[in-house]
Formats: sequence, structure tokens, C-alpha cells
Amino acid sequence: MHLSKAIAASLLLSGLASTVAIAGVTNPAAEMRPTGKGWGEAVSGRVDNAAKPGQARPSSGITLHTGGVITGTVNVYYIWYGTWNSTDKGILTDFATSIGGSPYFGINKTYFDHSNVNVSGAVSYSGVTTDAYSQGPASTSLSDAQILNVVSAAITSGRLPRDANAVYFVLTSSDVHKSGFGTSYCGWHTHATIGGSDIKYSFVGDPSVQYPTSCGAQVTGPNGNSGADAMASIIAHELEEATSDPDLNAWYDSSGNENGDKCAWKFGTEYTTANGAKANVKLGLRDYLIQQNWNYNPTVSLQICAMK
Amino acid sequence: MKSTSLQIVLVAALASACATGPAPASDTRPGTATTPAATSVVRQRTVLMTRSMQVFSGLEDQLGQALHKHDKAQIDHLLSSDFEFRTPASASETARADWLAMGPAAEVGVIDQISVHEFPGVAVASFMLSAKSPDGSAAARSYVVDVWTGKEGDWKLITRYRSPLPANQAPQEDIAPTGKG
Repeated sequence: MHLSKAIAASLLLSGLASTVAIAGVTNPAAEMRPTGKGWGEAVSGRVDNAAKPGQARPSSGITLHTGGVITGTVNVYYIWYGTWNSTDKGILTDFATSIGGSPYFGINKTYFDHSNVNVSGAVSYSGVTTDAYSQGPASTSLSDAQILNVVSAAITSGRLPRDANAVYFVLTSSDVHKSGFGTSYCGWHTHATIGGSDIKYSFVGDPSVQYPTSCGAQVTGPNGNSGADAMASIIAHELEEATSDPDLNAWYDSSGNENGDKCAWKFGTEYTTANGAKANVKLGLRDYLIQQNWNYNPTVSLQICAMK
Repeated sequence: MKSTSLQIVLVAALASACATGPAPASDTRPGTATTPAATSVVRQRTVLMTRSMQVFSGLEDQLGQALHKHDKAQIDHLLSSDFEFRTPASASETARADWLAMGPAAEVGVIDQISVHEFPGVAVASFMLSAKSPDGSAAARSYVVDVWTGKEGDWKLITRYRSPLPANQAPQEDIAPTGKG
């Protein structure tokens, strides 16, 4: 096959034989923590998160580690990075406005901190700002550090308040490139100290142009959109994780998976909307297809992916 | 997308993967961006894996199980009839039948650090493979680039590039941005 031979020849030219060598140390007994690489990392040393062929993946419940959760109302801030139209903004603004207090986000009330204070289930869409390519042309791939720059600039400039009880979302438009986006992840969350406050933030890109199948469950979503409809599910994933594991040291399982990870790309019961798209929940006046969330129960066997 | 341009895209993707190896998901480019004052270190992040990663992790697992069990029907379902295998140890490609005759020992094991570049009709999955030796002793590590062709629900592996890694190489720590240049 011509394609195969072309790839083979190119690989030889590009130096597959000199691939950077990385040897791993497997330690299945070690405790795992989230790393952001899609697999867990041992608290001391790396642990693989894959089952061997022929072996069932071990059942793994989610547990509270040393850190805490976001209690009280979780404030959400959007940073529209790049070029956005009102339709896309409307879909995602309505989503942030309506997810709080919903049965769906109420799943997070099963999580609690070391003082036995549970997540409230309340979310407030508290602010928004724009960023017109402050980190350079859209075609130049953004780094993680540049995403932090965007968040930090929004806060230190006063465009958004400094709020430790919040999750800041950097939402990049479909023309913006981000290293790893669409090939290694669809979104992520983390935290940083900005101005003395522990700020939780997340990156979510519009996949509709560059990675429609990698980061979208369907071509056209229930709101007649491919990008924003796909992003709603990714935002839901990151928001529930940032709430239950804001500093990456609270709720996750022995493989390093947080609540959202355990239900990634699982949607449960779906229904067909007027435009023919699939949806699984109605929030406010809109239908969305968003992934399920992991419902914590002290009995591990009762922990499941659910929509409410 | 025309075949020629697709090849260019694939070559670029593969060259990038091969040149850098399985790069950690965190960016490792200190100095490419300034970190604002009063902003401290970001050590980690947690990601949502892509659908493609989930799909092709499953396919790689299915293929591994089929090879492990010598399940011919499943192998035929997942392995293209014109499959080729390449490795730095051999100057020429290894044909499908010869590769299967070599046995699955080096090709089956624990997969991690998978990344998937998906294009219409083609997907390139790269990952680390830890294959146990037949006696169950220490794992042999390889960096694998698999090229799948087809479409959702009907993907077939057409080429595998596997580069064994030195056994005595120390694990590379994933590097997170430090903000310190």
C-alpha cells in the first residue's frame, strides 16, 4: 500500500530508531495520583494504568486523599480566548448558568472534605472576559504556561475578580492551536497561586475544526452546533473534577482517575432532539449531550456513572 | 483531503512523535512563555482523554488479547491483510505472516502514554509498551507507533513501528512547567 510505504520511509528518515528512550518502572501496588497525562502516577514512581491483555481491569472506587473540595457555591468564570460568535457564547453561557442546582451537578454533593462538609451542588456563573489572542497568532500552538498567562492576566488586570472558590475556564476558539489538544486530551484542569490565592482553572478548546471526532461525540449537537455543544460536555467534566479535586489531591481512585475520568465519554440514556441530534439532559431551556459523572458511595460496588 | 497532503500530514505527525518520543502531556517548554509575577508553580494538571484515545486503547487491547490467545478470527478482524512491521533491528519490513510467526511475546503487554492523531480514514496511535518476557521477568519496554486505516467501527492495523528501549535507561520524569525558565 502506497500510504503505508510512504509512512514507513518517512519514519526511517525521521529517525524512529533514535526515538527518545523512556523506560518505565511498573509498581502496581503503589498509590496513584492524577498527573494529567491520562494515566496515574505513583506518589513515588510511575505506575501504569493499563490492564494486561486477558486480565480484567481491577474494580476501583474513588476515595478522598489529603486535599479538600470546593464547598459552598462554585463560581464559574469564562475567558473567551480568540474569536467567538454570539451563538457559541449563548450555548455555553446558558450551560454555565443552568448547571448549578441541577440533578446532574447534584451528583457532586456525594463528595465531601475532611470536615465532612459536602459539595453544595450550587454553581454561579459569575463573570466573563475576552482575550483577543494575547499569546500570539492562533496558528502558533499555545503552551500550558500561556494558558496560565491568560488566567493570570485576566485576574491581575482586574477584568475578573481573584476568587479562590471558583473555576476559571479558558475557552479557545476553533482556530486556536494548543499543544496536545485533540491528540492527548480534550481539556484539563489544574490550579496555581495567583496574587496569593489558590486559583483553579481549566482549558477547554473548540474542537469543531481541528478535532471534531476526537473531542466531540457527534457531528452536530442538540443546539445545532458542533463546537459549543461538544465543549459543554468537556466543561461539565472539568467542572465536576475541579470541584471534587480542586488541588489534585482530594478525590481520585487507585489509578489516578477523578470522578469525571471514570465516566469519560459515557452518556447513559439518550434521546433524539428536534434537529436529529442526541441529548441526555435538559438544563434550562436547552438540551445537551454531556458525559455522566461518578456517583460516590462508601460501598465501592455501588459507585456508578450517573446523570443524577 | 488528498492522498498526498494526507501523507504529508501523517509524516509530520509521525516525525514529531519520533523526534520527541512520548512527550508528557504537560508542556515542557520553559522559557517559551513568561509567567506573570506573583504566580507560583503549576506542577500538574488532569486531563480528559480524547475519544480517539479511548477507542484506540480499546483496539490495541483487543489486538493484544487476540495475539495472546492466538484468536485467528479476531486477528483477521483487526490486522490488515497487507500489514507490515518495522523495527530498527531489521533493515527491511516484516510481512504479516512472518510477524505473526514471531509470536506475541514482544508485541503484547501493558500500554501507557497513548496519544492518537486521527485523520479521515487514518489514525496514528503512539504509546509505550511494556511486554513481559515469557518467564514473567522484567518488562521489555518499547515505543510503538501504530497506523490504523478504516473508519469508526472498522479499523485495521496496517503498520506497526516498534522501537525497543534500553533496559537500563532510567525513567524519565515528566516535566511540568515551573515558571522558572
